[in-house]
Amino acid sequence: MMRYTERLAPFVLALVMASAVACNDSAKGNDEADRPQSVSSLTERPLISIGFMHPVGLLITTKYRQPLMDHLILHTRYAFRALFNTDSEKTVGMLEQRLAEVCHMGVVSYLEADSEFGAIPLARPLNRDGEPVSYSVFVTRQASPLRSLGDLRRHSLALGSYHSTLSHLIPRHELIRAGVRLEELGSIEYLENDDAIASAVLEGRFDAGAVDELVAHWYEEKGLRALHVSAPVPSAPFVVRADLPPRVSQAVRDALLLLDFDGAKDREHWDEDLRYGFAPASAADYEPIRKIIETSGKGCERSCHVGKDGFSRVDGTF
Amino acid sequence: MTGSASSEGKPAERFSRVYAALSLLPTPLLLFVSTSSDIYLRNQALLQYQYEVLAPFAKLFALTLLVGVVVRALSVISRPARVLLWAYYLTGPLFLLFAFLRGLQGIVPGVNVLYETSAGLAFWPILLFVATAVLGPRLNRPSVVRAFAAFGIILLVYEGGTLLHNIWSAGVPTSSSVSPAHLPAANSRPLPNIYHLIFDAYQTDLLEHTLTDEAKKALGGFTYFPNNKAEWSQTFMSLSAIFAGRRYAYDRTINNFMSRAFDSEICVLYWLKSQQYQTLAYVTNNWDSRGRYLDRVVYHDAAARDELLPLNEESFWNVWLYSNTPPALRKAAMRSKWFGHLTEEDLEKLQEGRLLPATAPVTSYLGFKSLMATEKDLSPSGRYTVAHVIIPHYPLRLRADCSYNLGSSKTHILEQSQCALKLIQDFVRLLKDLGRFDDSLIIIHGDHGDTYRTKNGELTENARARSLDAVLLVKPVGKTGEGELEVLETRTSLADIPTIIMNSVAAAAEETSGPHLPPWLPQRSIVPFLKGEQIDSAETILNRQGFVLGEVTSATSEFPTGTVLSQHPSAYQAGKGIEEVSLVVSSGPPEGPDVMPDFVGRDDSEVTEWLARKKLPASSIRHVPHAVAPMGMVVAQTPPPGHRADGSQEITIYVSSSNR
Repeated sequence: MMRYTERLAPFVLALVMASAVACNDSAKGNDEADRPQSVSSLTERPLISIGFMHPVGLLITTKYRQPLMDHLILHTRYAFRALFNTDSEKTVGMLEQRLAEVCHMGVVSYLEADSEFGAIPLARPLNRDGEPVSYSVFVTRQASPLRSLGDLRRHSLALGSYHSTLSHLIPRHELIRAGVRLEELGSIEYLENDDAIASAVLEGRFDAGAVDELVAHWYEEKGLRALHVSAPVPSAPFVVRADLPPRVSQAVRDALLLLDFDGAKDREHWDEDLRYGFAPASAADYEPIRKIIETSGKGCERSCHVGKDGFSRVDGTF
Repeated sequence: MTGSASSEGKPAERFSRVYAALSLLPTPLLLFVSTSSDIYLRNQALLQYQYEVLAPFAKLFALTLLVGVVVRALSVISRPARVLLWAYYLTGPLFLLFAFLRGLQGIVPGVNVLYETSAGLAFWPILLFVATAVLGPRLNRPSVVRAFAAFGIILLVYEGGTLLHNIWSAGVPTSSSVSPAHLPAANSRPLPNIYHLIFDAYQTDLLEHTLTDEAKKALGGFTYFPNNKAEWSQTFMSLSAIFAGRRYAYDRTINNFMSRAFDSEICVLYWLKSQQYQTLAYVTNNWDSRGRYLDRVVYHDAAARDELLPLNEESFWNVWLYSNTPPALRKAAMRSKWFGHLTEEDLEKLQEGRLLPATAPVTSYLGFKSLMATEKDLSPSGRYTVAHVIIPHYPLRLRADCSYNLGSSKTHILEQSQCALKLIQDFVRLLKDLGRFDDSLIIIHGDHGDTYRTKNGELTENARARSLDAVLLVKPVGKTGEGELEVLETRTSLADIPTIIMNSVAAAAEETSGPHLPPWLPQRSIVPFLKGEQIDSAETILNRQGFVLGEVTSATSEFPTGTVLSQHPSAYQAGKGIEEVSLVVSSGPPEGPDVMPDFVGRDDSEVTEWLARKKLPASSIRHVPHAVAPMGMVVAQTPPPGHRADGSQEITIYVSSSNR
């Protein structure tokens, strides 16, 4: 009785205000009878979850990632769905915990996953030039007097989290290559994601920041410019656990590799980091990055990847 | 209000007395029965259908009604009593108004003030006072008394009927109700008893942080595998892998894998039953559809009903109190002993009128105690007993000695882990006392880990993912309790458990002497069951158990290409002298013009082309909405691939009409 009284209240109110809301869902109900008997259907396929790290809103992300799911459904014997996480740590966790069979993750995250529980890179996305690489870009405001990394001395710099390849590991490596020690910077802060870094630079809170080339490109129109572009870095791979049956990982890899650069013009409605196609990936592709981490981050477990002085021992090629 | 009836003659007077009595019903019904029955019905499963928790509210109802009767009797001679009676009558309707306006909180601005501030709370007694003063005299009218009486009857019938109907119809999932005396007779061979104890979320780190020297001695005879891994981090996926003895191979849906793991030949229980084992389970209610090969299933909450009652009464009373106390008063109540222990999550649940999740570990503990109490009455051989307890799994309610508070209080993960270790030691001691320890196989393990990690010797929490490091302790048949816990660094998996079990059974059946050591992998031990596996998974399973894949032949079948159709030697034969296992695998459905292709996932243009070639009508294509598939993708077909498509069966192809 009491629950009805409480629940009744909003309805009574709604009546008093005469704000009935029409509901047209009933028109869709007739399709129920047309549902197929489960004889051979998509719902009977094993489900493969693909984890993505993406700090923007779920709705938009799902819309632009779904074409990839459709492609995989079409070219494999599995059903696919996209899962999202807003931080790279949790994306590694999804793979570790088997909540996702495949994860698109940053290079550092992949290497972490591999060292902790065994992971295999399947394929890596191509960029707008058709190369399976990415770049870390130092950005500054268009009116900024900064012209090179050397000019950053005594200026403030925004980087990404310790787990980020393009906004943390590589930028630090580039600074060392340019002969700039972190101690020489005016200040340095580690922000949540690339968007936050670019926004902070744009708003003048930092003199420069380092972000993924895609983010740098988006912010060009808003008033940022590239200060320095890194050496090419193998792009963020699609990764599986090492113990996933090879039959599954091979099927996913084959389907991804069907997406070539030539077909990119037909995929303009796809997310930009996936639309240009894929190249095969192997552990060897990421050895240079692994070496950077190993030489600079020994004894530094999961809280960081680089030592303060470690970069000076590493050359500049990936 | 009774004076006006005096002129209506004797029968009318009698009726008026009845009306007057019934008119007293609404207030206590609304205050105590409506409020408590609502919460009970929402939480009856969590309360193990113990309707006894309503007893205090029935008493309060009776007491309030008695007060009403007394006040009514006094009202004839006393004016203050008459005013009190009016207040009594109006309390019920005002309480309804109170609940009604509470439902508008968050919708109508300002309503919150009536509940969340002291001034707002003062409004209610003032309103009662004013209503009594203004409306009271009108309550004397017989028509009003009759209206109250009618409302009381309707309310009584509705609340009583709803409650009684639910109490009678809601089944208590107790057990499969086969008493030990009615279990199938144990095999005449001296098959070892198998004790399979599953401690939920018992991560290796937790055991290692609580393992004392005393415990190591108590666990003499056991081997501990610190490098053991669960196959999955969710309980029933993990349990499926355990009972099936294999990892999910993505050759079917997860749900299909999970159900097959408990109700088909891949389930180790199937093979134990084939050896005439009695199979018993002391488990949580979540096992209710997994008992096909279990002779008897005892649910913890059914086993511990009596001990759970005070716990449920306490919880229920507090939920009622919390749900019906205005927030302004609640803040004061929160400082009380009981509420002070609650977490934010607990409070949220209370606010929604739901019971605290306080009982899962406690119920498990009580159920496990009940298992120990009945052990002596059960068969000393030929029996497989599985127990699954939600310990040391969250929520943290048990202390190191497994004691717990009535109501709610939070302990620490290490305390709850100490409780798990204590239960293991108690169980081992019991088996030793009963003389059943030496001749039994005892397997104790977690089903998965938790979000804890050990760093620099300290246990830290909130890791990014649940660990797969699950405790595994094994005491082989024939090994005594001498010495202390041994540690073996071998890499093991919980999916090895069927092999360990069937190896012991096979060794016992062969009547070999001495300890039947489990097959610490890799070592050829016992031929695994491979039917239904994909060939690559079958080879992985064989290799893990020390066998190699022998001759592989193929045959057409309705099963997908690569599915194992049969094996030689057959499953669960002792592997002595066997190195290779030969398989017959499916080469898929036979091909030919009259065979249905696999269209699922393909574009509808391929179907159209095929239908045209077969001279079949385009009406065979039906467009259906689909949540996932893009427009034009085939989402289902009948008949399935490999079946005949020669016109003997109607062909229907379902194509997604979705256009995201």
